[in-house]
Amino acid sequence: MNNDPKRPLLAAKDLAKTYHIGRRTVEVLRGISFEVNANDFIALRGASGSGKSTLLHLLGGLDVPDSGSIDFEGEPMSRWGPAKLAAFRNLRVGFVFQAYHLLPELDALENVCLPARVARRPAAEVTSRARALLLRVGLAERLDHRPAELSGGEQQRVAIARALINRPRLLLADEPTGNLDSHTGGGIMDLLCSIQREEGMTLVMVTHDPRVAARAPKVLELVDGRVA
Amino acid sequence: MMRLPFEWMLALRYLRPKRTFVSVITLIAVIGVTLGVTVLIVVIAVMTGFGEQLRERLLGFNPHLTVRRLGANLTEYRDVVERVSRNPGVIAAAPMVEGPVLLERPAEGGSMVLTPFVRGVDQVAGRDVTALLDKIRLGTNDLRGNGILLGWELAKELDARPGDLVNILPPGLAQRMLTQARRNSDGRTEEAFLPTEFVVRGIFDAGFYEYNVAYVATSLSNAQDLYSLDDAVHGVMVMLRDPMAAADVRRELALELGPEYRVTTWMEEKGEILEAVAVEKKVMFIVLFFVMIVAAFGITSTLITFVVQKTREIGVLKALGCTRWQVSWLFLSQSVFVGVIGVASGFALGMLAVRYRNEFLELMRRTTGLELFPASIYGFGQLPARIDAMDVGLICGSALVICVLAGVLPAWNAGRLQPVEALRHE
Repeated sequence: MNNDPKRPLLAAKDLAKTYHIGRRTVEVLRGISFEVNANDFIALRGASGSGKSTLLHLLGGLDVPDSGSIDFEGEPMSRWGPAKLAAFRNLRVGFVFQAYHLLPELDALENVCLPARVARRPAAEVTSRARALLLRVGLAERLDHRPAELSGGEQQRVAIARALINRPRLLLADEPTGNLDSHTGGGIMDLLCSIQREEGMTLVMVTHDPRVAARAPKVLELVDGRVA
Repeated sequence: MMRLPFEWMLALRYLRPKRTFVSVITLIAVIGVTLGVTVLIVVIAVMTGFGEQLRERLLGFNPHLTVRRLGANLTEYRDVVERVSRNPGVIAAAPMVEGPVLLERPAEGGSMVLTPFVRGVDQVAGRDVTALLDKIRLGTNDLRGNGILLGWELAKELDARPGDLVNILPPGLAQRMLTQARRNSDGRTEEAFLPTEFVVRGIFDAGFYEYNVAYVATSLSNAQDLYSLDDAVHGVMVMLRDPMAAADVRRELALELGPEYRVTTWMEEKGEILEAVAVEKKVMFIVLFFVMIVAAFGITSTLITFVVQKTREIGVLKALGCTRWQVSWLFLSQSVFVGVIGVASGFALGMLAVRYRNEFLELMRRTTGLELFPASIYGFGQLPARIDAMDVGLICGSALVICVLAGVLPAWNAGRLQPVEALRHE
């Protein structure tokens, strides 16, 4: 565990990522470096195709960079094997996606419990924490509803609760309001901001919307795969 | 549900009967496994039953062991019976005479001649070594005087009933007649040889066409007279506690009796037919197991379709921290569930089918007029069957293994999916 206040929670250095689509080569990230400190709330802003989602995937250990490095709590992630990366995604990071990505077969409570069940934590403890989280995001009455029976905003609240179940240090949000109208999106942003403040979490959020980005104290602008 | 590992919980949710394409093809996969297991259980049970019935009939008619003297008749058979009976594996031993004879049934418009084997059995001791005397279908088993018993098919062929007369000409007498005939051509005196007359007392049914058509039975003393044996016999029939231990007991008896005697087992004499049934059973198992393999392919294709359909969810699971093994296990558990449900219902259906096989055959016969197992060919009115726990265990176990193996490839592929690519899957 890294508790050194001077060391950043996350340090990205010269990250590059290129995709090959047929014969076309797309350089999505071209040498990105930045640091995220514990308790930071950073918005990564950029136009569509600026590589912000790719960057978020790299930070969350869902993908690996072609070159450059990411250190989490001072440890280079490139040295981690698949099992350690999976444990990292499970316990240290919480993901919130634009399309919510809840499992349609599970109800709200089960969806929230899922990451803790993956970590093999005891069912009773997990369920009571999931109930508390759903209460916190305002869905106490919707525990046994399937995603199909919930509105977009409600689904995103379930997804936020799911991201928090294992008490991760880092929350990664990819266009969390992208599929929502501005009113509902505003509610989701209020929730994310208050949770970030209350829990003292580190939040990295990707958005193309300047108004949403403006909610973050620190904004990084991505242009053509570089930090502007 | 929450107490199950999440892989099982999700796999069970995926299998929940909803009217989706996936649940329909899953159902088809389950039905495939069910049918495969059912057919295997029924066919193997019937073949086991058939083999056992065959063995029972063989063993009911044939002695388990036969003791003969090399190159001579047995005069000291009382001594042999006594020595043989001392073996703890032996239940009973009795002398016997057995050989071919000419049998004539006088009738108007010319007599009918057949060449069956006659078996001479001791009315008292013989009862312990052959079930023949208890298998009388018409008349009695009284062999006193010049009584004779005919096999069912033989009696039919001769149109003979209890009380009818038949003449028997042993080979020895025929040889003497031949010698006489040669002498006659030299102009010497004639001598008359008359066949022995017997009264049909009963008709036996050994449960076996071959025996019913080719055997007649009479008392030991009659048979001894037919073969001019005086007090000698052809051999000693031995019945064992465990017919399957015949080879072991034979070895012991061969040591006890010495090299001038030959001991043969029922397996050597009539074993080929049982061996054929056993081989047939194995071949049937292998052939029918291919039904199972085809059913398993159904599971594979169901899972491949399912993994493609769930690709994005696999990406989500990986983003939430699932390892590749957890994802693989999630999809493998589905093939385990399909296998367990298919095998369990196949087991239940198979047991039911075996239990009600005769009712089913009867129903088939009444509704469609179709005789699946005509009694005239198979020699039994009721379809025999016996459930052998080992066989059923082997069928269910191997079916389950095949089902699980069928899921390995799709499950492995699901585990290998890259999270980002899976998440982007449309």
